[in-house]
Amino acid sequence: MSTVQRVNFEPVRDVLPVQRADFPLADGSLADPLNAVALVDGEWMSVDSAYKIVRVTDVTTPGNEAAARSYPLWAERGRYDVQAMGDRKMPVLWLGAWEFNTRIFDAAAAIGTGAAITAVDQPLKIATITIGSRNYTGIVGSDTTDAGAIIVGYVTRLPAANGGKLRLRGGTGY
Amino acid sequence: MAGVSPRVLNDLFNSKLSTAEGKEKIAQYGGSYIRDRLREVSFVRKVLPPEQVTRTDCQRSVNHDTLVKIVDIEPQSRAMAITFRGQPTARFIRGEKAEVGFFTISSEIFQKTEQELLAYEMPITKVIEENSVKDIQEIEDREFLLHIEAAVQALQTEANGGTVTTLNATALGGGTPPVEFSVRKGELARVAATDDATVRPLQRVDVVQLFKMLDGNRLRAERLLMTEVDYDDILQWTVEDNGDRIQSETTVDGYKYNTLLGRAYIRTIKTDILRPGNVYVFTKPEFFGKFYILNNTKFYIDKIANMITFQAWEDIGMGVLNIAAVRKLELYSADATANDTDTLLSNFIPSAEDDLGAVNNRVEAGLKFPQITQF
Repeated sequence: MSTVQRVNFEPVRDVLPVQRADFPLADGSLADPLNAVALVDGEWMSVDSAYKIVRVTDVTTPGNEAAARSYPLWAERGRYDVQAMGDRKMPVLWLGAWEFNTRIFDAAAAIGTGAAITAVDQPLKIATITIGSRNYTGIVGSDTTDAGAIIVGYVTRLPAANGGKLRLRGGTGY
Repeated sequence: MAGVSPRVLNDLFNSKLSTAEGKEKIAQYGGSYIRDRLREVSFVRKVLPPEQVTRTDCQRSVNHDTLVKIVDIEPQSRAMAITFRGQPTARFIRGEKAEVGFFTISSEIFQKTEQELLAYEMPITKVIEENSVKDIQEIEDREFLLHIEAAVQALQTEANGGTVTTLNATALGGGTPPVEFSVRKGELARVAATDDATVRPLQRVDVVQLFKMLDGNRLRAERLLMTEVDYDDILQWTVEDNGDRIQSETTVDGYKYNTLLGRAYIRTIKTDILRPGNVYVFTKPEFFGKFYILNNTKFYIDKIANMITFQAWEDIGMGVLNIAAVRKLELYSADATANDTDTLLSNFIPSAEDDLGAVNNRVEAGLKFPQITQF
């Protein structure tokens, strides 16, 4: 089981080639760090028809699997720059390949026809997971037989060998 | 560099970028092109004069790497009449404090190849650089508008029992009209037969009623903010509003005073940010809020191989710390609250960033006259 800390999504490769795009939150209250379901870095967002970002899964329903393409949020909970803006924008990794460590994952969960995270190069997908006492839109394992899963990246280092953090690569190509 | 042809300036721009010094800001001048629209400096800077702050004025967070400046709010106090033997009540002093967060406003990242730059007679890079500063200030204004609108709506909601309450002509004519505490409909809008987006003319009584919203709360209305469109209505005020001297002057020269009914006013042409029909009034800045500049506009330019890249940005923070220090007049009859009862709200709020500054000219569509075809 992962633990959520102050920083939950950190790059392990150069981020300059990655296009980091700011989008307004469809629900600006999620930028409030005191919101019970405040967004944390490493959650996964999709873009709605108004070009705003929303969680790609229903955060109130553990096990709810993403049915749309999604992008990782790269802004820690409660950042002042996000709260200071009228539109409350947050950055996502929008274009380009990247490799990050994340704490927002559930290695044991097998959602739908997915599988627990056990191997390097295993495909990963997004679902609502529970860490501690609350839910997040985070990473769970998929596999080659997981028909219909929207793959967001691949394991590059397992949590057991990475200080409890999952290392994955994603971005361009999915 | 006045008098140097824009083409030479483009060449210079290009060549200077090949040197280390050339990556500094390049000053060029030129005017051999058609402007698409008027651009004006920010109006928020006239309402809330910006203050320069440095890193040492700000507070960090232990949770992330962003900054706020904490501002003290005036503490409460009062006096009382007492007898020779009596004692006054006590107050354990406590002053509220509020945070102003910082964020960045940036231009687009502009890119062009050295070769394609040769195809321009105008100093296109200089034009974009100069316009970028105004583009950035345009976003300052949009942010400010979002904040003051949130402020007036919050106070209006509080005055209506904590519920967002529809404010349109129908509601005002109903049995239990909403309280107009920080938002008020104009006199013509409130008696309109339908709840629509038509902007009624600004009348003298509207302005006076707007002042009263602040003046009646131990604050003083000091500065009006309105669009050029609404200001034009003032030119229609009659001799009964103006008196014969002002009426005569206005007919010849327009309204040429810096104050309107004794208060300063700011006009803006940015009608896609401050939408016509919305007039705000503010107190002096010391009663109202703060506008901080952490980093003034910076300009970055680089050339990698033949690709020229440049970008401008600034780091600012602004906060409406006393939400009672701003009030709003609406000259249309439809609802502009979050309820959006009349589904016309998009007409009254600032346009999305992507939609700002719509192109006026139609040259790209071939619409210029006379039509000239080269072959």
